[in-house]
Amino acid sequence: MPSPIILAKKIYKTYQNNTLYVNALNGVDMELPQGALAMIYGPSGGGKSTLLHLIGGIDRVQSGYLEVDGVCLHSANEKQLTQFRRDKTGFVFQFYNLLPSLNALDNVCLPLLAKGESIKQARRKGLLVLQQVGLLDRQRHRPGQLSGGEQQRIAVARALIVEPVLVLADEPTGDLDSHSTIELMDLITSLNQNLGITFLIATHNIDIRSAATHLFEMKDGILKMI
Amino acid sequence: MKLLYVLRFLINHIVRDWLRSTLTILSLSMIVFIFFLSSALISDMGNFGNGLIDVPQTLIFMSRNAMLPSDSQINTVDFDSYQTAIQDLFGAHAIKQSYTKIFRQLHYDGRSISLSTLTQDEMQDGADFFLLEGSWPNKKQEIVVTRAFNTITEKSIGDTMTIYGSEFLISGIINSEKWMAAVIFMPVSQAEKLYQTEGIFQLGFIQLNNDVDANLVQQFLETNLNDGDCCSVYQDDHFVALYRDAVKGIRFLARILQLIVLFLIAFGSYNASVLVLNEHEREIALLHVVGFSPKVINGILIFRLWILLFISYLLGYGLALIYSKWYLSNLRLAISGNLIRLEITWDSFLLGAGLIFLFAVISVWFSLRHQYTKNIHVSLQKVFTGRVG
Ligand SMILES: Nc1ncnc2c1ncn2[C@@H]1O[C@H](COP(=O)(O)OP(=O)(O)OP(=O)(O)O)[C@@H](O)[C@H]1O
Ligand SMILES: [Mg+2]
Repeated sequence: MPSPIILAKKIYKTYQNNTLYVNALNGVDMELPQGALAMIYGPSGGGKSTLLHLIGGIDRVQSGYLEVDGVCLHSANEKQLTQFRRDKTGFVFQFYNLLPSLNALDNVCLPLLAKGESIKQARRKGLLVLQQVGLLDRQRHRPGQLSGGEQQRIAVARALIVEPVLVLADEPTGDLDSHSTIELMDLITSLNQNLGITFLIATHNIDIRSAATHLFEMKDGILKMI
Repeated sequence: MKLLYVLRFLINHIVRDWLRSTLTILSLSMIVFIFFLSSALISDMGNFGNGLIDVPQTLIFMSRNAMLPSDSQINTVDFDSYQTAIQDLFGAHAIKQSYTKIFRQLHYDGRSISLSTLTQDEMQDGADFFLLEGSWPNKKQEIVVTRAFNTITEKSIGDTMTIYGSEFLISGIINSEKWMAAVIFMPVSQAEKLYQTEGIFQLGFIQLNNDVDANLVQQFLETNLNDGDCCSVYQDDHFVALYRDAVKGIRFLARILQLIVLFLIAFGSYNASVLVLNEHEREIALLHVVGFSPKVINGILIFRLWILLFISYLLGYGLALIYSKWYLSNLRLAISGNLIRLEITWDSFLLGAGLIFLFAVISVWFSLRHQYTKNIHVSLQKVFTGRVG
């Protein structure tokens, strides 16, 4: 049996605002196999984004065990986290995914530049992933010249360029109309099926539910499989 | 290659942010401008004080009731009696030389300018005076002027000027470390004729021979020959020290001004850095997410601030140069005849450049320390979940 790509045991996360404590995660257990296309639903404030940030190595767990693709994130240091973000995961947010002063191609290339690859090589790969998301003809456009749906697909392309094992998406369709939503989900589904990339998506959108292989509900900091 | 890429990216970035960038550059360049002017002022003040040479063993005589040299009135009879007294007490060879100067303060072209006489001895290159251009006065109605006079008034050799109703021709420009101010010099005989004050002058000088104790002579004269109005006796090096002290005050003020300016530059670059961090928090967070290490992000931010500071610095420098040029050809302010040149020097350029680039590193480091150690996760959350506070 292949080891799960995400393995979480009793993870807790508390935020502190001055004297106010918010328990965002109240002992989350999770196990997700490689190649899944998982979606997390749940009310606002339930802790979805918090969980995604922890799994993506952007934030740290308070206590518990969190392993993603063999990396123990609960005990990783800052350098290991940077490396993890760079090499293993891609992130797609609801909005503001791209640097406005760079064109689409250069935005896509950023993770490779962070890795230290040459600009030439990065751009060559960048063109390939732009082709994969069907936006090769938009390579010279700045984010401001692209539609919301196109921006999200560029963000997906940027996530793909490092050949990640896991792509995390936080309400990726939140700002999109139904047509763009369908386009984006088609892209994600085909990447999941053809390249075997694992996706974990936090969303409120019921319409995309049918694409999921695994469904979760997150409420009051507790994760349940549905 | 990579550096160029980052440079292009950052310039692009700065240009896109043009309004904020322009304001930052303008305010920083004004501070840089003041930095250069205050540096120039300090070196001007330094020149005034350091240019003075003191002639040892020299006593200066001025009327006891005079505040300024030009108020002094000494007659030959009194001055002679001092010399006789010195010779009586300290020996016939106690005095090396003595001479007198007529000294006036003129108003010329809206400025206060000194007029002094030259002895025959002084009218040849010596310790005190150097002829820079032209010749010493050798005809009637000829004068020489100092370089400062020449610069301040733009009167030069061959020009004439009216003094006390008479026309004089400038025959030469001289330099003297002792007379750095704007001064007109004429031979004693001409001055006596011009002012019709034969037997009366403003300043008397007695240089003593080396084996005579100048302090002792001064004390003796001050205590025993102080009847009547004549004279206060100073020692030349005391005079110089007094002058240096006066200039030191102004120099100190200019230094404080410069320190304040340096502080402002440091503060300004810190401000610019914090501004960038806040305004571009999302972009910084994004760089973080895609895997740039804090170190690299720091480097990019320092580089960005450097570009801004570099532009501001060049702009401020350019403005200071232009102002300095304009000032020298139009304003030419002087402190008691000492020209303030406001010369923008290469030294201050390098000093300022070094300091400013250091400030940039420190301020980015400071502002980022805060960001990374405490806030990076919170800031990411804030940015990507649209949650504020
Ligand atoms: N930086 C923070 N400081 C304080 N509280 C926070 C912070 N981030 C999140 N929280 C709190 O943690 C809880 C979980 O937030 P989270 O953003 O994970 O919810 P979510 O499920 O993503 O909500 P939404 O569907 O609205 O995006 C909420 O109660 C929220 O107020
Ligand atoms: Mg959320």
